[in-house]
Amino acid sequence: MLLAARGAALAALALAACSDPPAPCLGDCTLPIELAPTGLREGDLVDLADGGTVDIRPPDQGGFVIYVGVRAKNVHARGGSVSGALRGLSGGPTLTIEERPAAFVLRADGWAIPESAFQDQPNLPVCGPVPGPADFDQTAWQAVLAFRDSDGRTASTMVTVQPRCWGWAAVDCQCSCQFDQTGPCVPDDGDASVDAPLAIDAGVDAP
Amino acid sequence: MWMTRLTAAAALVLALATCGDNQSPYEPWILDPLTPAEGLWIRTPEFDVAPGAEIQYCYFFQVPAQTDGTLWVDRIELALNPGSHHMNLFRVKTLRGLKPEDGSPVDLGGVQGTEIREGECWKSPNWADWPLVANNQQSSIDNPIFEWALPTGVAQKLDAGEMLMLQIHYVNAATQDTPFKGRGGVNLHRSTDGDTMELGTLFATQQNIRICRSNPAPTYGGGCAMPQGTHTVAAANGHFHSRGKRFSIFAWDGVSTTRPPDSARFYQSEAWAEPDMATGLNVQLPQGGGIYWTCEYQWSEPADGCAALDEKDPLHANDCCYTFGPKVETSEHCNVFLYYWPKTTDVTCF
Repeated sequence: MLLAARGAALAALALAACSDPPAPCLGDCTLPIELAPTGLREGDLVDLADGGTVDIRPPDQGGFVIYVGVRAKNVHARGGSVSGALRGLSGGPTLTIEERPAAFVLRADGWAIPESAFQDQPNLPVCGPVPGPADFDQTAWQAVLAFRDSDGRTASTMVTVQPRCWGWAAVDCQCSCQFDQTGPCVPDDGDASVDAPLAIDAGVDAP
Repeated sequence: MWMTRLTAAAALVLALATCGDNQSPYEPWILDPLTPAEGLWIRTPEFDVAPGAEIQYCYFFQVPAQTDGTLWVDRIELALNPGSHHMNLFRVKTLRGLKPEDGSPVDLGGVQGTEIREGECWKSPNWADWPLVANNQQSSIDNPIFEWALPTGVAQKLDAGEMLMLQIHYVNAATQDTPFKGRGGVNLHRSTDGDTMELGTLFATQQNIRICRSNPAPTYGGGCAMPQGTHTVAAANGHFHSRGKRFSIFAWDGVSTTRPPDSARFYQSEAWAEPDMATGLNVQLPQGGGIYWTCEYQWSEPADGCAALDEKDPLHANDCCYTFGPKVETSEHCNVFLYYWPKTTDVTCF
């Protein structure tokens, strides 16, 4: 009987040793989660203020996406997820929505930021086959961003974004992003960015 | 004694015969050829899939001339020898690196076509805007033919002269086994009962995915909006590779910015190699809505170690990550194939 009890205890210990340790809190998890919007601009991860521009880029499979996400504080980031959705400024239909695991790095100021601007921010398809009510690259949209940490706590935020065609595929992008594609495509010269890139070099891997 | 040895030898022969080498007797599937009045049929040539190999071949052909210029198809048969990972039939649209004229002539039975093996046939941007016509991932010995009768009144519309491309992917390696030769066949049966409701298709993919040792159980999800109008889902299937554990598709209202509730789920499969093709669904999507889909994964140690994965990881994380790609052994997918009516347009989301 005693041997059986010891065996069970040892087995329980062994199982406990095999399971992942709980994700540490980045910040103070007795406080509400804090979020701030981020996005990809001219290839850099940047903080987004309302009206900030974000790159429209061609991913591997084809089509075009924008990358928008969040930085977070007071979260158990490992095992969490981040989601994004895009809709008109007055609400209405959601044009595109995505949810993905979130890998974050801890910055020196206590904020956890996406480890990769491409992998750890929602990739929101735009233009081409996405049924937008206007030119994607000539219109401001509302991005709804949410974060769920590994404890199941959630928070959300919103930001107005202005997608812009950028990079080597800009001309193809502008034509693909036209709402009315019945006429000829006349690409413009695009726009320039002003937002500052986020510093990630001071970050350490979030466990 | 000699009887014992004879029995042992017979058992050995029997065991070898069931091991599945390319010389084993195999009862091939048979699809009856169709007359032009009955529809359109094609058969690929047989081809070898060497041990350790993953191959992908693309076959181009045109819809033959039709009396009234159109072939309405209301029954589809797709057949595969065991070992296929997928067989997809597309309408050819924008030509990029994969072009019918670059292929070698090939006899496809019911039509003549061209064949491109490997190379550009692996590169998905080449068919990014090519609408899906039909697909099949079922290639078991016991069940080599997938047959689907479309809903009453619904048919797939093909125009005479339209270029189609049949793509076949076979694997004979650690994750999937091709015990005989590779081969595929398609029968597109002509509708003769006046179907006029056109079938539409949707292809959606999550392409920026990572399944890594340090985060071994990720879930990816995304929405895909349908064009304006009311749409009914007739059939659907999901597609991922061997790290895929659960594939789910939900009806989405087109407004919510979060994953739909479980009650909205109309498809779920936990079989990565032979995922269920759900037919007869009759799911009404919300007006102005669409679908939402999720792929749940579990990382596993690659049979040949992590070097190949680490080498192609765009983030160079050295974390043994499976990333988006067509190779079953070393990459992952998260694709939806969905059939709906009435067609408003061909839908692609990526």
